[in-house]
Amino acid sequence: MAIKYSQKVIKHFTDPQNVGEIAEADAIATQGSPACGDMITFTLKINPETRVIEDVKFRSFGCASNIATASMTTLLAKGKTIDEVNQLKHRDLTQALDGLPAVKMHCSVLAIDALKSAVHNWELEHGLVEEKPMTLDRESVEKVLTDCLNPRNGISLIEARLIKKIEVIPEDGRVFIEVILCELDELYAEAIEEEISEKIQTLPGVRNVLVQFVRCIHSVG
Amino acid sequence: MADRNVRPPRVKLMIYFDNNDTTPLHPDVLEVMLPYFKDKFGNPSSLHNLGLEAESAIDDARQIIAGAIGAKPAELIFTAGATESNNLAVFGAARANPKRRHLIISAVEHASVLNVAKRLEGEGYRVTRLPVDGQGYVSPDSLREAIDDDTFLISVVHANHEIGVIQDIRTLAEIAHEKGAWFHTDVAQALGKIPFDVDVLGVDLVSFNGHKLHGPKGVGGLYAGRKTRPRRLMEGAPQEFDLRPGTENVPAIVGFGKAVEIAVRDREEITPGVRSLTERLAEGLSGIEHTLLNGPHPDERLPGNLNVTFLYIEGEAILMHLSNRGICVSSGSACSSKSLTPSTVLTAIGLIHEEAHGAIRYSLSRFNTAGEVDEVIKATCQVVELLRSMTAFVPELHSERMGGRSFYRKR
Amino acid sequence: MGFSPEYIDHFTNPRGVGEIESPDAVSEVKHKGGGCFDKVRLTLRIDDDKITSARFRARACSGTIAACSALVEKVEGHDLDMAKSLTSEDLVRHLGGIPEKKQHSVELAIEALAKALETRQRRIS
Repeated sequence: MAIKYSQKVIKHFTDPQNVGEIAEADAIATQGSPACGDMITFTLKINPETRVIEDVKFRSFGCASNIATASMTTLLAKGKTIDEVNQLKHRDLTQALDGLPAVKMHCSVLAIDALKSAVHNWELEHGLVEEKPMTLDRESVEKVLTDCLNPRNGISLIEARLIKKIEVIPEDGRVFIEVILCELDELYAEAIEEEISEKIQTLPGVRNVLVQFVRCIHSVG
Repeated sequence: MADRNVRPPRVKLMIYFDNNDTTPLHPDVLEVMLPYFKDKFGNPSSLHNLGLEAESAIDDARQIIAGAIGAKPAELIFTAGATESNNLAVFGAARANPKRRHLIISAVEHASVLNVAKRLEGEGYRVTRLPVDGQGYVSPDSLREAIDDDTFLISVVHANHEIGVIQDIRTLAEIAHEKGAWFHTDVAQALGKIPFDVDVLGVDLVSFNGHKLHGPKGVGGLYAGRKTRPRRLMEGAPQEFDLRPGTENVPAIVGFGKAVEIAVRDREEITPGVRSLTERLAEGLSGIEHTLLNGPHPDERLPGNLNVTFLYIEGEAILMHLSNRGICVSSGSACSSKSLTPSTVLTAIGLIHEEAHGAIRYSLSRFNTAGEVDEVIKATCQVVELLRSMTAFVPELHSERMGGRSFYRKR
Repeated sequence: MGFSPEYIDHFTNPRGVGEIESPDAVSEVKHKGGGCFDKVRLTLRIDDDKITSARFRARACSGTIAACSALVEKVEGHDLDMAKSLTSEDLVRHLGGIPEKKQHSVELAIEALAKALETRQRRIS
């Protein structure tokens, strides 16, 4: 199945903006991993008084969407205050690119996450926020799962009510997730399982993640 | 002499190195098909002259293809493609041998065989997936260990579509027969490129198709030996010896016959040229650093096939950049797959995700030239350099396994 | 299954595939009947009554390819008298034996050789 990219995505892929690294950056963050095949590192220059992002550069490892989303993110970030950046949603990025194929939506999630992560690191260093220790509980699991998208339609699994059950045993570091899987989504079962596992493993103290699929009888739209 | 000057019509400025995916029609093939789209539009099942003419056309094609693989015409049936043939072979063999419930396949089968096996597993069948070594070879010993009296079928692909590994079908089929099991092989990639004969290899069921050897899409064949007939899966009128109902795709079958005829006729003359071009490509790409060849040495693998991992960069991005330069290839990366998971074949030969993500498959045919190979090497160098200059994947930070390995890994 | 290693070798690595330009002798033979559609084109280069080069092109089953390959090996470098006296049994022996149903293959190869030598004879006389 050929992937149909918008002209904007193609442009940002073939001619990406702000590639590279800022020497002596004020903030840096990496999201994703080579194992995922999707990874972005942002370096930022932030004005401490105005808290404006004066410069931003990226390096990435990933497909055409990965490169395009990273590139567009630098354009969205430049000139914004860190408060404005914290308000950014991945949908803003997708819109700026005139849309992404559903199966590539997760790239925009990664890009915005990486940018916010860099900003967050800067805020921590400058004492503007306190490190809120993440705990392993149902709430934090739900939080990391909100960004897990169904590749078929780009909609969050939580929003689509496909996460049927979440069980957390913090003492053992075990997490059990039950996901509703329709026939249309069977193709993506492995990919969905991997993503859920990866996202949950970013929480502290996780030792074992079990994802189970429940086949649904009728297809969801 | 095999006419090397004949060329299919081509989109301007396109270099097509994705022949394991599909191939351009040989001009002679198109020519023999056309009348069957125009005046000779008969249904082979009809009793009037128009029908008889169509029936005769598919019979001729059947004779030629059967002869080419060493079979009798009555042992060859036409399907809509290799996927259907694989389904008919594996499901059909299961239904024909209801007392046995064990299926053995290799870990590097085509998706159609893998998924039929999964379905049978869901029905309560036992499925053994034979592992392969670092180059993709199935070991006969592993089959000897796995096979038992409950095994009804062993299915191992002759030449793999991603890494071109050619299995020792003859030995594996022998082992199958020792236990009274049937042996099926998918030769879609192999037919017309390496010698194949159903008797010499001793196989019972064989799948293949038209569009991998400069024939039309939408048509395939299944060879089934007289003593190893599968149960039909579809119901209808008794076409194709009662094994596959439905009005035959006459133009495609005629084209299929011509394509097989040409491929087998020219095989010995054309192959050395294709092999040397592939080696030229391999040599050129091996000059790029941090590059690995996936699968066997070019001498040993399917002529024309090459699968290379470019470390630290991703396959879909490489593919799209090459496509922008008019070069067609494919990738085994997760992002370029329909299911978003890296290729099962690359995983089976031991590649970790990071290595699979950077894999590109180049596949040449008789219509490619040395000039194109040099162009592709140059373009690949440029694209790889570009993507590496912007990569976030820094080996020292991310993996100790990378680097320090040579292009041609030893077996 | 009854295939000797020599037969398999000649099938998987056939010798002499191709065509000689401006051959001194040429023939095209087809297998008649039996539902087998084998077709062979044999070309020879002859110097001083010796077959210096033999090539064949075949649309044929494994047996015929193996037989023609064996034929090329047997006749190349030998004189015409030797070639004329070559029999099916000689080819069968060279192939280490063949299955009964492939007997037509060696006969077809011998027929191709005989016809080629005949055309040369006619041209000279």
